Amino acid sequence: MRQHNQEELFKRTCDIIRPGLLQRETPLIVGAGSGGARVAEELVRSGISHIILADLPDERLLEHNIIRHPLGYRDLGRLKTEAVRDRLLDINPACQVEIHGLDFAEDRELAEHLLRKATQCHSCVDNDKARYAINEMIVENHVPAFFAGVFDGGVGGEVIRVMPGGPCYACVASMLNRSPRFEQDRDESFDYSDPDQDQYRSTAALNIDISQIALVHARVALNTLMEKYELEGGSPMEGNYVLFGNRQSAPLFPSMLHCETWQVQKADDCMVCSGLNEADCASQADEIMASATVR
Amino acid sequence: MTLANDKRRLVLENAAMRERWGDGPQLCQDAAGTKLWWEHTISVEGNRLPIKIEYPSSYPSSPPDIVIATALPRNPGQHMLGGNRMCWIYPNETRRNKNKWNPSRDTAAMCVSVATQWFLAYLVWDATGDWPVPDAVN
Ligand SMILES: [Zn+2]
Repeated sequence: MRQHNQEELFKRTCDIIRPGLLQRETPLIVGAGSGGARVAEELVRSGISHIILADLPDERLLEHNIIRHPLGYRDLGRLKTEAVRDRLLDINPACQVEIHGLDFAEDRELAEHLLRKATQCHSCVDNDKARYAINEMIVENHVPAFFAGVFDGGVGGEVIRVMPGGPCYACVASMLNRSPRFEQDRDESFDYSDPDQDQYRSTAALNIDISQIALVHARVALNTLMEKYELEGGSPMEGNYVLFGNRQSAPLFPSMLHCETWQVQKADDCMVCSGLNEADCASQADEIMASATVR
Repeated sequence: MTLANDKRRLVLENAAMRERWGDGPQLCQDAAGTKLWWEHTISVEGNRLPIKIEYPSSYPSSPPDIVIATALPRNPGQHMLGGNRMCWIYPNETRRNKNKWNPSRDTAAMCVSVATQWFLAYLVWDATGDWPVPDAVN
């Protein structure tokens, strides 16, 4: 490997973020696909020197992934986590990248273990089951988290920031699902077709559409760090929800590059982040279990 | 963590079910005390359908399974999934949709309404050959 010089590497960025400043930060990135790989790359380029990268076990780079992924043919067939790790080390060889095969919704033990080491969590997954699993666990472990999603067709996307004690992803999703702004996107009919067939289908979007949202995601995360370290230029983010339009798509996005930041409130009755605490309901839960019929 | 270990959620689930459906649904557990489900009988115009509402290990990130606990007179094809589960999960999750499962407010109590709607659709289909597609509840 070629010799590298950290000072030289960060020569053009050190006036904004001093190298070494973010050394105590360990972002956990869940998903090494087109979004996650880019978020990881931006964080490393911004001076993050320790990353935990997780993706589903045996998630490999396939040919149809290449056109929307920072990796290319030389990594075809490799585990995405391994290939993205190598890419990150190619950008900053001093970076420590820990990789894991993890189904966040099913392997709670490993997920919790990783979250305990993480200072930020990035949800770069493509399905609600995983998002909600991440949400539950970051709320429980008080880890700041960022959730990004690209809308169908790549017309735009969203980034949700969840800070400890604040509204959780489920609170925000619940509000958005009722928002008239998304009316045209709704299909009110009750679908009885097979839920398994389409559930994990990838969003149709161009590489540039996904990259744009991944950049917004990385920027929101970075800004959160700049706020934390009181860096110049880290202006407080006024809200927890960023809606970003890549292309014009009325009525959601009146023009291309349309951007809004909203403050979505915590739902008082949110069953994930509000209300009862574990200790208060222990005896009641025991009673419920004792009265449940054993079959 | 299974629901049996998630005391907070268990209390909320039980309260939601009791508030909405009274003492009708019966909470059951396996011998090991790790799996939990509700047993209930749906009634639509004199027709009865016993169901189980099962909590998956990834609950509440994924919704409960609604299992038809009897042999139906006719097989409803695509409207019934493997393991005699009712098909009711909205499949296209790239869109905002009010019918989508959300663990911040949805509980197994909602599944009783969903199952009632499904049973109604089944009965209409049985009589007319057409599966109606009504709005989802909640
Ligand atoms: Zn919440």
